[in-house]
Amino acid sequence: MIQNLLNGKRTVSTLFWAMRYGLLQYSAILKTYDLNSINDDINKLISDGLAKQVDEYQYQLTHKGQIKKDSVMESFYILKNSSYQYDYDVNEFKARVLLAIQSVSEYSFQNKNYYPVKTDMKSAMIVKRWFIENKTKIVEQLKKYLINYLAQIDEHQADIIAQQMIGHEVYGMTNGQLADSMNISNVEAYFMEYDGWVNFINYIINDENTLLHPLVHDIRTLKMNNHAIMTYQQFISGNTLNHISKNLGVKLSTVREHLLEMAIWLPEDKFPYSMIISQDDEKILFESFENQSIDDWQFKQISEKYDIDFFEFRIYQILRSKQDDKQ
Amino acid sequence: MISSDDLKRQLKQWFGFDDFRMGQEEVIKSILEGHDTLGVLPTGTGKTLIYQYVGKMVDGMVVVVSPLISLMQDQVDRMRYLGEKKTVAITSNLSWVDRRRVIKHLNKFKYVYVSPEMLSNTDVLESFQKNNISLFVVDEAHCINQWGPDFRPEYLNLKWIINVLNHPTTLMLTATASNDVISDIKEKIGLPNVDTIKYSTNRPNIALSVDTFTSNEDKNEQLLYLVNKLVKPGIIYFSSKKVANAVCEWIKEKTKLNVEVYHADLDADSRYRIQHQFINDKIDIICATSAFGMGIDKDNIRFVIHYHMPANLESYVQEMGRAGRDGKQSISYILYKEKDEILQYRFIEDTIPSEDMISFFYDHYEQMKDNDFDEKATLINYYLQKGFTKSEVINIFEGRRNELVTSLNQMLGYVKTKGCKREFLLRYFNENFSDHDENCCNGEDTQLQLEKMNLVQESRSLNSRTQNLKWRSIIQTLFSK
Ligand SMILES: [Zn+2]
Repeated sequence: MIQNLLNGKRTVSTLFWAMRYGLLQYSAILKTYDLNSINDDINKLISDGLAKQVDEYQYQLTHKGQIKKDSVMESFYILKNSSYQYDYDVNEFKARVLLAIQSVSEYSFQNKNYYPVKTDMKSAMIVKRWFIENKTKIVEQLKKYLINYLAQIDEHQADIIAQQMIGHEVYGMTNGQLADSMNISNVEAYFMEYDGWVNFINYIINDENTLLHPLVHDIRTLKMNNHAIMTYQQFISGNTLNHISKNLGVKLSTVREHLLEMAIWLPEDKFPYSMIISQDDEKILFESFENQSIDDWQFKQISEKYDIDFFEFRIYQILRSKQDDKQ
Repeated sequence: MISSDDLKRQLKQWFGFDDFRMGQEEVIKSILEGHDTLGVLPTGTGKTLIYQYVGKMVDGMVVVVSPLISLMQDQVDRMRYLGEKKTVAITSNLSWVDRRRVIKHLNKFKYVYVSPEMLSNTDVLESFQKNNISLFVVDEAHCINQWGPDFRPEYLNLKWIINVLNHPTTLMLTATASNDVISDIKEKIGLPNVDTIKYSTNRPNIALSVDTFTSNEDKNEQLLYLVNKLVKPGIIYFSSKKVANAVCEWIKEKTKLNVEVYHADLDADSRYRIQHQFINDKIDIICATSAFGMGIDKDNIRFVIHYHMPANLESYVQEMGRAGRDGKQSISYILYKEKDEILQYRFIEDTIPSEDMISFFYDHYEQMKDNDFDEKATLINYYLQKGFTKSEVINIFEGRRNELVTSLNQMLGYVKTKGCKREFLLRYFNENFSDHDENCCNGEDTQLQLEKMNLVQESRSLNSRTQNLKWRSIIQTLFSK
């Protein structure tokens, strides 16, 4: 489940359990990080006696492992820039901004023959257009922009960002080299890098100097998917689920999934729970699960006795999760 | 008929070289005279220059079919770097949108690289049909015959594709082909008159050494000795990514060298950096997997070490042939621990569908056809779709398995021979060799003298390990004033 979440696979069930575990803001962060290697890492933990396997999907830290974890957590770098609200296509931005820096760097050395940083065609075109439009003073402008930015952030983070830059006879450091040079793990280096780029994206978006705006316009997006937002809007303006299904030409089950997704992402007061769960049903649900932890609720506890469907049950579960979080 | 002088004048003008490398001129002439040509040219002869040159002489498009998808984008980058900006690759790596865009504007491109499976798509093939193709290149033509990680059953379609494209002049290129493979390529490509231009596979400036061990500890010790002693840069090849990673870490720990892994698990960003750091001599040694080559030429590689024995002599010649492209003395090592071949035998069993599997697939096709197929199932399905019967397919794969085992045994023969290694190798490619000397190989009880061959490094590393630079100095170096 966690692997799916980190990879950006957002099924409603992944999202739901992510919410329960308090992991929502990490969705899609490790999209391109090699998660296969995690299995190796887990095996290493087991062979070192730090963890044991409970079942196919669960592992538990041993006592020795717990002590080790506490000591690691003290110094381990944890991602700071995690957002409930936005997705950042950090990898695309990185490739794009590196290509921009490289093309200006090579241009300043009057070199036309070089191997451009790899991007997809769209990014390559965006950078090309940006370069042509700004060509006349681009070298001083970009240099000044970068210096301005790097000078006002943490010195260490500035070094990390600069060490990745690519240009004329400069190839920067890979994630692994960065990690080695700072004597930290690859995952930590990845987090530091990631934080650095997200900061840079936000800086560019909010900066009055619009030089790099064309490079980021599609990089920061809302986490919720567009279809889900459309479903949600139709729902709050009073359409029934059947109407929405007809209006948008999607299956009824999809409409339900969209609403579940929106309930998960939105704060409690932004989602119209009462339009789905009647007061009577809410009372039944409350009483049925009164002394149970939310993760242990089973739909079948109520499905035979009452006329409440799974959708309502899940929505209520989400509502209660949000209320619990606030306490 | 174009004179040699004219060809050379153009060579100087377009590429800045005074002379062609071995075989280039002959192949170019043959193509320009409109002959379908099979060029067997040793590794490092600059095969790209041949079709790039021809491309400049003809009006139409040059289409290059290559089975090495992982290398194709590198080849495109290289062509663009060389000034051929109208170059593109159509592979499954392309996003759907990008692919549509390329196909729609195909006529804007001069050099088009395409993977065999893409060429088997109707929409791709149709757009090629609408264009004037002056030269159709089949790169790594031995893959028609060879069954490796890069084998594509679609290569068997090439005969049909060439016909559909109205039979443009066709050039098949390979670095390694025994006489059997040559006739097999000709048969499968199905063209009536093919000019074969074959040069010796021998690379006299690469000394050949096979070192045998009884334990992995001994093997690792020798590896450590070699990487410290030999002139850098060099490549170490492995059959497994895991072992490549582990050995790379181990060398980093034990030496001050700059060592990096390079294989399919690397993300695009790291691949780019490592490739260019290596080309610019910032990295001493690359630990690579065999299936994963480098698309960009590097002339000054001084050694290639095979930590695991390759699967066949063709692969061996390809991989060790990355050394010494500048013509200077270089060396190839195979580090062989007794019974290493078991890994390779197992690999054959893992790649080739068994009789049971084929039967099961044929008997349960209806229930399975909507599932995603794994690699083996895709292979069986390919034959099923072509109308082969169950027993035919079983025979085909049985035959392939035998061929692979035979190839592996040839490789093992090379490793184990006490005689001249080079003689053994060249005999396999139907060439004679009898000039063994002290720089040739470590067969015939010869001790190779690394000092005498100038293969010993005085300073240990090309560069000290990358240091943490401050951002201000990085920004200053990036932009010239
Ligand atoms: Zn010899």
